[in-house]
Amino acid sequence: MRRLRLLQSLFFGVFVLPLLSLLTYLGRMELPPFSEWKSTLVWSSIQSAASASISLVIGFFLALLLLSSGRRWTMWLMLALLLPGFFPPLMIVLTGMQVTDWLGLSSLGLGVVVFCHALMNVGLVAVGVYQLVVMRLKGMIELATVESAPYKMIVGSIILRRLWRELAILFFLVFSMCFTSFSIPLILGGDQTMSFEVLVYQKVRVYNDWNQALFYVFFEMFFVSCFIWLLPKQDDESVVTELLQFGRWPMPMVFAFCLAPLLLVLFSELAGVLPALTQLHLLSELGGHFWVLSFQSLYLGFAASFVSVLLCWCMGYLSPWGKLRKVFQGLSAPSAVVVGFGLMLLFGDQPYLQLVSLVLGLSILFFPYLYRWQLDPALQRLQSQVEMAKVMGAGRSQIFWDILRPQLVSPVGFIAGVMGFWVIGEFALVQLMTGKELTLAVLAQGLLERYRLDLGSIVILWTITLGFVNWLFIGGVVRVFSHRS
Amino acid sequence: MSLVTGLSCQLGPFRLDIPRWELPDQGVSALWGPSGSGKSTVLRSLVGLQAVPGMKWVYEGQDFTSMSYREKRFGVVFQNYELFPHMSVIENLRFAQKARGLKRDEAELARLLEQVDLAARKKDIVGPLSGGEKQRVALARALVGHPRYVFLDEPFSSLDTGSRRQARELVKSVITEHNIPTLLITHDKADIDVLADHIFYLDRGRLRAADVEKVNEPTDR
Repeated sequence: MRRLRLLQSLFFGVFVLPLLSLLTYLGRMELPPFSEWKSTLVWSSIQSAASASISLVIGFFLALLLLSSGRRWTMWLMLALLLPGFFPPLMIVLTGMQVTDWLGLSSLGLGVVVFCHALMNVGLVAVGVYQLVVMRLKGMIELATVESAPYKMIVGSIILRRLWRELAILFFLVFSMCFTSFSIPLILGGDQTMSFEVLVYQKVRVYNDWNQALFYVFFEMFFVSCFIWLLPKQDDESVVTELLQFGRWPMPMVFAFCLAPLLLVLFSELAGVLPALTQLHLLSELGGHFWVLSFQSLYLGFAASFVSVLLCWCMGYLSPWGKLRKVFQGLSAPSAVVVGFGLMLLFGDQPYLQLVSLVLGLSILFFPYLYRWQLDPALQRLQSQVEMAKVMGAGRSQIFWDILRPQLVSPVGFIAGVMGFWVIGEFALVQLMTGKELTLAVLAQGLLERYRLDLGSIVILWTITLGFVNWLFIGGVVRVFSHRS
Repeated sequence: MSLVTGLSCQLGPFRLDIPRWELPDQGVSALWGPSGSGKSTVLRSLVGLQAVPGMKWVYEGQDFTSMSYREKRFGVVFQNYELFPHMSVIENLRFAQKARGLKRDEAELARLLEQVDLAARKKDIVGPLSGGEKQRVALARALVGHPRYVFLDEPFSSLDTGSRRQARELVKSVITEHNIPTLLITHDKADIDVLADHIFYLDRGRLRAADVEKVNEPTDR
């Protein structure tokens, strides 16, 4: 039991390593000029509040459309709504730049950052509100409908009145996500620094002022922690599998609005790629460097996928249930800058350690999301089987090899695939930790910053293709090895 | 007789309070009571899934609460059977054999499957089996390696009325043949009528004198 506790602590320690590393440097922290952090705080707050408000209003409207979409289509529309948030941020950045280009507006600044954040989050809010309505209010709404209460009355007196607290929580969640956003403000922020993450990046990579960077890291962590502690605690609720038909919006309108975010992202990508296809010779500008970066991206993606498989099996073996599960669930959304900066302080800028710390950093950044999304529910489903096996006298190894491992192959393969896909499309952490053009995503970021949308679109498309190739490959590898062993 | 003492705990607003319980060490003892009376908590506490500080269960001079699961050697059939759905019928039984630290004994498993009338389906994956078949696999698995005590937690509640009658008869004959002391958890009077040798009535977390005749629950016997 003591050995198990030790293993569990060590495993947990990996995820808080960047934070621990930062804490050891607390004494070196230096106060920056007040005007600098005040201005960043103001811009970050305006940006985050605007992004969260727009996401909430549009997301709520989309949830109402989803509710009236009919049982046949709801799941597909939810998937379409969630996809823009699933794509690498580069695609969202490209969409923001294309849309502002079409409208003849500036592609940098508050407006486009808010637009991109809203594009990423409206689907999340819509699906969240939909699930809350079905979970909490289904019976009430059905009764009110049978009693012929008007639509507006049900929306106002039941949905808004009963869910205002949850809507406020959703607002604050989106606010904190936008407040700690890195990738989008890094490219599109323009002259104004619209998040503390970008400011830390500038301090480290542009001004080489690590002591002031430390102050901003701790300030951001303190600000977001206060925020999260103030949020009311939510009950652990399972994913909704029931559906509810409520309202009669015209179906073409439902489809048009629910598919709009996804179509906008895809159309922006195509709008860049199609003209560029006639000018593939542009790729020759990049020369052999393009293929080197492709290889390095795949290498990094595969390494991160592999690490995620190991983390999943460790998690399965350590079987976090009860209080320990709460601890692992609390490993939420570490900020990219905290992870990157913490590991840089730990490993230094040594080139031979960069790849190790980069893979570790990317895993620490993405694994907690994937754990909560896929692995935790899968482990919960198997909990009663594990209890049964324990009662029979089965040891931890037998439980892992005979019960958990065979039944976790699908979620683990999925996690590894998504991990590789996200890592291949990630540029901000790679930039922060290496300061080099190490992957295709960083190359694409540079092209977008130079406003080469045509070439940037091709590189993004190729990056995503590599992400899917890695996904298929690693998914197959996990299956083959799991069946053989 | 075995003796359970200190089976008392507070779970939110619910309090389980059984300071002393003489639990027979042979035949089928039924713990009977309405929903919410604490039957499942009693089962989880006796089995060891729910920690109850200060509880003791002395059986044949040994305290079960100080033993590991393997030393206790309990057989359990849960309400929804908790079979391992990715394994075949025989693999479920082999798992139990390995878990209890026993040598692989295919003859014992074949005998058990014969008793529960599943010999022909031993290689089938358990996922798609019918409710009745799953219940029989769970029973056979619980009996692997001749356990010291068997727990049956509402074992017939997932079955339809027709299957229930057959299942009760089968369980009765198998348990009698193996002669293993059994604790049956149920809220169904028909289970008690067919199976129970001793009856304990649990009401709001406390054991009361059992008076089965006063209960007018419908029976599908």
